[in-house]
Amino acid sequence: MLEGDDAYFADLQQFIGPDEGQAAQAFARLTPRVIEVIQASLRRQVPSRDDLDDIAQEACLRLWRNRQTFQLRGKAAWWVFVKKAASSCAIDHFRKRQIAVSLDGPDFGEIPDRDLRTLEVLVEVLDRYHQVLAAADEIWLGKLGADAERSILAAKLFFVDKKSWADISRLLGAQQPGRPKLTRQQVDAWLSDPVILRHVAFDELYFSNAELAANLLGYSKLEVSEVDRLMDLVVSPEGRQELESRGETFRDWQWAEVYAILWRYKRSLLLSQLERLKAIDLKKDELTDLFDRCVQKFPFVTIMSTLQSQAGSLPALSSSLNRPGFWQRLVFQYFTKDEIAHRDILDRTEGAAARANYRLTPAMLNVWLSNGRLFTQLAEHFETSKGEKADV
Amino acid sequence: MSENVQFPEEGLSPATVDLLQALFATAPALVETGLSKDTLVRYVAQAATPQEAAMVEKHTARNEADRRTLVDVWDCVDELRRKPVGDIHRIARGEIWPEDGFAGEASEPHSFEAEIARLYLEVLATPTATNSTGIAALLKSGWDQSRLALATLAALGEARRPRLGNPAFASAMRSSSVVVSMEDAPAASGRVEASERGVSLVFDEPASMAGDEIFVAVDAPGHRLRLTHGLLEDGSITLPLDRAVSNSLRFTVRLGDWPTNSEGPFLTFVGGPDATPEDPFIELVNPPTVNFGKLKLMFRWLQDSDGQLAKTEAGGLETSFTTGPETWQVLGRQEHVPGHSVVTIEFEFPGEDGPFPWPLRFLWQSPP
Repeated sequence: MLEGDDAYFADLQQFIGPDEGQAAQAFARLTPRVIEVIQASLRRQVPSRDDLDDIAQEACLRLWRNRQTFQLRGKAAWWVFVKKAASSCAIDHFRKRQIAVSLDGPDFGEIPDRDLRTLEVLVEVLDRYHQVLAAADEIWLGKLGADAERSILAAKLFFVDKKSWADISRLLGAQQPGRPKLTRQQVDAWLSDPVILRHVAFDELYFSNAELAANLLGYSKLEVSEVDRLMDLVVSPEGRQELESRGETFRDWQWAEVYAILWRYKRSLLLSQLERLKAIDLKKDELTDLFDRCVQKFPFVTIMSTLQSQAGSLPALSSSLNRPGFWQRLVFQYFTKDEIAHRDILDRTEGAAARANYRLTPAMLNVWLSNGRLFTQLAEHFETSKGEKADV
Repeated sequence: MSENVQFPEEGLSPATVDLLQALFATAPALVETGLSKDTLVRYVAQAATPQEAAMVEKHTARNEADRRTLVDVWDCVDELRRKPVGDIHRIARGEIWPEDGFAGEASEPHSFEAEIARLYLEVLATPTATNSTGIAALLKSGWDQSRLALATLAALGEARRPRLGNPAFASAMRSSSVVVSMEDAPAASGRVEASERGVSLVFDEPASMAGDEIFVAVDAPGHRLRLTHGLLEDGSITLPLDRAVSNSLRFTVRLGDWPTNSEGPFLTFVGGPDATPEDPFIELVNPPTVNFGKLKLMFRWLQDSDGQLAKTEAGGLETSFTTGPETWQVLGRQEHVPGHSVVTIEFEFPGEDGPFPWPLRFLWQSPP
């Protein structure tokens, strides 16, 4: 399963090897990703950035001190080892502050051996992350045929920009070596292909945390760098002072609301965490009201309506989106890439799903995510394709 | 499925899911662009307006790095459009820089711009001596007029205004080279020949089009706009034009399936004898048999200055049409815009007969 020339695996071997100098060098190469993973896994429990840094630092020290006890039985074993170190450091951190923690919950629980197979498959593939995304697309949206990029662009120009066939043909039909002529029949086939339609709908309906914050503040998806600039200023008192000197409000929002939106949606902090932020000068009921208004302003239902309206009487779009696969892909993306809570995922999906005659419930999210069904499907997919290759 | 695979059916533990979520969230992000530069240049070069190009950008940029690449390509193509063709060739060879036209330092090769220039030339046309003048004219025509300019390039003898049937005109035609706009190719080179039978378009590269049905819109200002079609034989198509039709011609050629009803002949537009920019009168003969709901008349004024066409205003009105068994008549009236010498009327038939909206668009242009 593990290849000898895998640099990452080689680092792990050196890390537990007898040569302390080599081990230190290998650990230096491993550390950046280790810190990232530790911080990502503890972000919910430890809202303070300083505390998070301290815990990650302490966990790294423990990994180094205990490296001789680590048995290299695969990359998954390494990450289990890392998580164990992170959990114990976090527990110590909470105990010092006399905060009770449950050792059975998802945060600090043990990873059972039966899960190692799933973990091993996915950890192995995660080094080639683009393969994971491609597999997720293939499993839940369907596998695209030849000329994928052009077919999706054609469908977007039609469904989103309402371009006519003639315009699509002009824009995308330019003579290109090795490509067949773009005919009306070809465009028609693309526009009624469920796989293409699901890909288009996914691209349109998925908003990353930053993109959603940008949308609420009146920017387009391509202007997320503007939101980054705002966020850079929001985190410091001087930055906020500079922002507020520009005017009393920002577009339709009070500055306090802008700060709350950025923390809530760009940084995906929960309401309980926001209440503790000194920079947010809003009371709990004001925050609740603000976020209710934000949910009302979410673009998802409108986007779905636009797609449906342009599809007219075409049955292909509705039949492509009223099945679980499409929504599983969307939910998977929000969960793994944006790390948002189930309630937040529902806020971003259930309205559009209802518009497409599909009912998403908290219970479904629980099975798909908390129960690991989507991860298992993904791991099964990789094992299946590996098995098929071996059979050949 | 492989026989060895056994995944837990009861679900993963919460701690496992938590770890997987952290691993996925911290996986290295993709920065590579989804589109190759040459594909992108082809799309951008076909965009009729900056808005259209922005649509391509919007749909193809997956992240900030993608967006920057797209903007770079867009800016570069925009710059190239303003250049004479000779300069574009020099940019493609790395001899000069696109932004200032001066020779660059050897240590700072503009490989990106050179690559885009090379692709752009490839997209526009095969750069031969016969049509390079046409390309230059196209490039001068600016952003949103490129396609119109392509058609205009085929307006033969525009400056000399010779008469069809006049030996001088026939001679001028034989010696002229043209670039005609085509639906499935950005440009095709060829020439026009006049004969007793009418006017022939002769293409330089007939092999790729042999046997194809092509459709030609012939704009003869002041008289009529006719759509005709036929099979391309020996690399040429002859258009049965009336000798008296015109003193200058405009061609727009499409290769293959021009959207229309499959039964009857094409629409024939006849400009009313008294049609003027102030009072355009258009009669449609032999309408298609499919049932169109309404006819939309769009008026656009095009200013002709220094040989360039530039859109200055756009206006439009929708009008219902009257239809008889054989003839539809449409009467549209629009106020004249002082200083604008040409009125273009764009017909748009919103298609309602098929699974997809299928508008037909035709242009009629008044005499200057």
